Amino acid sequence: MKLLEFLDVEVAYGAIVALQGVSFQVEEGEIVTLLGANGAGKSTTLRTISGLLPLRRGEVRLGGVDLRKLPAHEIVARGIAHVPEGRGIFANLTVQENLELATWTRKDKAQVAADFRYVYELFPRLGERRRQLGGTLSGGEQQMLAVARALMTRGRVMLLDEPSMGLSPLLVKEIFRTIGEINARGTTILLVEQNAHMALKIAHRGYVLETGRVVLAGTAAELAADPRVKEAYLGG
Amino acid sequence: MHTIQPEWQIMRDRLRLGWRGYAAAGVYAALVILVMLAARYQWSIGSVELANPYYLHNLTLIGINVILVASLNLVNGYLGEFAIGHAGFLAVGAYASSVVTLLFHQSFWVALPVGALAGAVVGYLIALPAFKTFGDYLAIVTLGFNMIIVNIIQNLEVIGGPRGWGGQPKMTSFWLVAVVAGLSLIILRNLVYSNYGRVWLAIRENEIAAEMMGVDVMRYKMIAFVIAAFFAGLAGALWAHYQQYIHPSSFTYLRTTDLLVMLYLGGMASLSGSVLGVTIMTVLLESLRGVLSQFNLAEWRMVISPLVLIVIMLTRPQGLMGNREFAFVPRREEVPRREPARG
Repeated sequence: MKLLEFLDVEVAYGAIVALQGVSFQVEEGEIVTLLGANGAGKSTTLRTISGLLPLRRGEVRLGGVDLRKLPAHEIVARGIAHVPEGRGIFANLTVQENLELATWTRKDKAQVAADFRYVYELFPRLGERRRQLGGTLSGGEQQMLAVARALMTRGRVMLLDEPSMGLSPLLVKEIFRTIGEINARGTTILLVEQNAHMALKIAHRGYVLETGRVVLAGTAAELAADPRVKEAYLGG
Repeated sequence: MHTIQPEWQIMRDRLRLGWRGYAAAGVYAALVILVMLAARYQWSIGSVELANPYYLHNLTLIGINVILVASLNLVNGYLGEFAIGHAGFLAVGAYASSVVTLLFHQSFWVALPVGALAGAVVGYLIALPAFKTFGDYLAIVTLGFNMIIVNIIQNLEVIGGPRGWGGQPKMTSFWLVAVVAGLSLIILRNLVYSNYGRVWLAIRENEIAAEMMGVDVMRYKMIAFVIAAFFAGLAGALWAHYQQYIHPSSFTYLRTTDLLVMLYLGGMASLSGSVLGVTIMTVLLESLRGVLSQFNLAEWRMVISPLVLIVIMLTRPQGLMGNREFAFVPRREEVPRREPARG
């Protein structure tokens, strides 16, 4: 079943057209990755889904519902959980408060309590540091907190923007393992990554963006085997 | 906290102070009563009267300014916006309450809440366009509002126009200001440590991330702004019925600047800082009045407060107490709230 649809979307920053008719879709339960160089429009795509950028043309649908006219905070309530680039941790709130904030729009009390147990089980480090201020966490812990926070909004689709950025190889592995686990528990994931190698390892399907256009699409295995992808993103 | 609480529970949690808070409130009440007794029975040490009318006058002004600066801190400190029209809401409260007592001949006890509500209503109307912008633009919009209010007052003959407006009954006294300022601080503290306060901090730290958590950022900004305007209106009503004469020139952006100096001196996002900043500036300016005139430098007094501002910005930009509180204001972790499920 199509969960997220992105149809012929055009987005511009002033005179600069960042997305020139991009289309893709994400099925329920999938991990889909968007690959591409800097400036290809990957983050722009995620920000467009979240309602942070206006569309010039095209459609964005979540489970058939048009997201275009909704303000960003309502898009969250409809089920988009965005982990922004650079994590966006609230430095002066504790870990626990960071997570509590994400449950702001939810009305299912019992489920919230269960979700707290779930994320602390998924990220035991965060459980140990729940009274610590977000700003005092290490980079890897902050990334975990960002992911945990998005989980707490109980979105149907999680948008992950460069989760590996600035992390050590060990932590990158850890984060990707967790992403796989989150997906296995039923959250659909749209992953934007510079680290194409890791991304294609866990993704089911992928799209390659170049200067605001989709130039390649396929299953992760097909993309990993494609000579153009190999050359441009997997280092030969 | 991680669940939507019934409204009455939220209200109850907001009224909780914790033992330190109650102790602080007790000490505060004791001090106020002591000052009043000293004034009533003219206690003195040697020939120096402990609570002469001049001291009481200054303490009253400090109380009114505490309400103003602490509420401004909500917007400029906790929310992290830069609004510079606070004196405008002070004017709204002062004039609205005076309309009630002077034109409608109603009791001051009606005028006091009317002044505060008028501040809140005008605050809401200003917030609607103002929060479509942010940063420098919000500053300009609020500054513009401040100027417009003063101009409107100057052109309304029925409320005195440019001559000012006098004859308000003297209803505000030291004890009333002490009580209202104390209650205001308690309410503001509870707000700051409530869910609202956490959302304001989150917006200050990262507006987009807050939005990504499903927070209606615009709505929470407006709530902070309206609450701040409410307290400014309250202060205005107190002030009008203390001075018994109000004049448009008291509400210009210069007044706002004074408040900003006190706020920045005390420190952003700190209520004890606000109290400290107001007290230091008031005492400093008053004591300089005497000292400077001895050296024939009286007209230099007004140079002091901008000078203080420059020195703070250069040496301690976070202010004396920035983001911290004295121990008697219980920290966030100590605020009683229901423990979320542990994992």
